[in-house]
Amino acid sequence: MGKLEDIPKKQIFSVPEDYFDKLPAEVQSRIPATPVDTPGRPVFRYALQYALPLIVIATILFFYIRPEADATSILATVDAEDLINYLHDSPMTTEDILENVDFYTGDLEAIENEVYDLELRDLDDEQIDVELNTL
Amino acid sequence: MEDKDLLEKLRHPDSRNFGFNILVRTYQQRIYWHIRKMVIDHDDADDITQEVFIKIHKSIDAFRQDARLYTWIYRIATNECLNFLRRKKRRFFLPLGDVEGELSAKLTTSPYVSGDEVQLKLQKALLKLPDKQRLVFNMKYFDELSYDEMAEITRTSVGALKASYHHAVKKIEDFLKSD
Repeated sequence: MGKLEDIPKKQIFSVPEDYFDKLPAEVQSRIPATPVDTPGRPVFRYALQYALPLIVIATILFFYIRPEADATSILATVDAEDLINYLHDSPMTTEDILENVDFYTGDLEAIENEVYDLELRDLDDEQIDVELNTL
Repeated sequence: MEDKDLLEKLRHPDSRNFGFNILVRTYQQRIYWHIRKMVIDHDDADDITQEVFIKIHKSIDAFRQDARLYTWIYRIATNECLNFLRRKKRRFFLPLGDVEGELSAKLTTSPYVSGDEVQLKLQKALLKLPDKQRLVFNMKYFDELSYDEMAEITRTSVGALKASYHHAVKKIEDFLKSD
């Protein structure tokens, strides 16, 4: 017998009794149970999915990217009268203040102009002479 | 049940288990026998068949309908078989002949094999073929699949499959004549 067609096609393998009846249940028992979605679950999931990253990003922005408030802007919120009272009550002398305060050039010029302009504008020639003589 | 309806059931959480049960009942025999002819032993075939269905369950959402469900399942089973045989050879560091010897011995010792002398001789001749060629022979000769179906399952050209099958037939006939 050398030809394949001379051999009758026959199933020589067999299986234990009821094997195919039991196989679906056998397979099913090995499948992990599908998680059941409870009504509250998606809300929690979305909260984690969207809210949590937003909170993290907001925290990062708050602590690291927030613009630093400088002394000028803080002082700008303090009432001028309160500031004068504070400086008046402060043990600091005028020299201390001048040494420590970093005046802007523009501020200094403005102060100078204000002082000289006022005095020169408000006084007539005679008064100026009187003032100069009293020095 | 049409593949489309079955897939719809499998993809819907409420009917997934029901759909999967139908799928197993529909394909279990064809898949089991395909595997059994490759691994010979019933226990091995049983393990692989279950693994195949578990894989199908896990990846059913990834199944694209550009292939038929049957060919997709058949392909998974084929890959599992070849991987099993590859692992077997690697695990025991056995040369090809020893795995063939082990499978050949199972033909005579297994309680679930009952062929006459000629049938057993054919099976022993088949075990002499390389795994992929044996697979092609089984699909064509026993499962009577068309070359087109086989090409879809194995992702090989029809021409290559035809050549492989005819080569296998020649080798088997040479073995039958010589023995």
